[in-house]
Amino acid sequence: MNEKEKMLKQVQMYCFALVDASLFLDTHPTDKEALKYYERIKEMSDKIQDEYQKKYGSLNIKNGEKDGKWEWATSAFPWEVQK
Amino acid sequence: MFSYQKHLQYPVKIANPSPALAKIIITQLGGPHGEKGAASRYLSQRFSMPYNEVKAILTDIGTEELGHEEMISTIVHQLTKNMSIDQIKNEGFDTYFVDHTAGIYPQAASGMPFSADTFASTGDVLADLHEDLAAEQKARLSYDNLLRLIDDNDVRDPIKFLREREIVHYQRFGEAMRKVQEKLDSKNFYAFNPAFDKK
Repeated sequence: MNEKEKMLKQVQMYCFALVDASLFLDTHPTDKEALKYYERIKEMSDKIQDEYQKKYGSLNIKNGEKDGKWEWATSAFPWEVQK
Repeated sequence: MFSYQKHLQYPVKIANPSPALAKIIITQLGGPHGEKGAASRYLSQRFSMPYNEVKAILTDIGTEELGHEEMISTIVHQLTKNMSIDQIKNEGFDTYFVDHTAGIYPQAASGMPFSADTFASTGDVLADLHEDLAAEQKARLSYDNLLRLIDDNDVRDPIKFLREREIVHYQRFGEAMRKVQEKLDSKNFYAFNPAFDKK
């Protein structure tokens, strides 16, 4: 696994933790411990996404531009085996 | 509305093409227990759901299923990229290949195209939630059957992840069902549809 793949795996891990926690919160909307967990993971998720996008390019269309180019459209898509 | 995250929910990186595996795994995109049916089911049913927490779970699980469609499509794409004509012929992929080449088309393993007949949206709260619980269980058993047929760990790994998600979704729908039942009283437990009937 290269550096980019390792970092993407971190992005996926935190993003997944957020998805899983939000499903739990949907049916337990006042659970204090789950809310705290969500907050903590959200902070880490934002941080790693920022780092990844600065280094390797956009993960969402809001950050589509990189180095004066619409990188959203020119970078690889996730179903391609990354080189 | 929806926006796209340009990454898979879980990594898929398959080294060796196998049209034989692609042919059976495609069923989890377009088959009777597949992810396209799952996403369509929940994202349709939520409009007649009267309770916000249950609208939320249908929206968020439905959205996650869209990500699972992308994962299954990616698995099939990687299994069919760079396959040889000999593999296509010897592994029985010719019947798919003749219409779709190495493209992604939602169909069951049997070749039956995706159909909205594979899911229901009844406008009845309890009927829909019972269907959702059954759907998660059926998706899980299809992943179990796939795992009985697949040896390649590159393929097993993301399939195991998807199988786990069915279990978590089943749990969340069970909680949603409990919430709905708490809002119904003993007199009208089965006879009353809170999405349509007035108390």
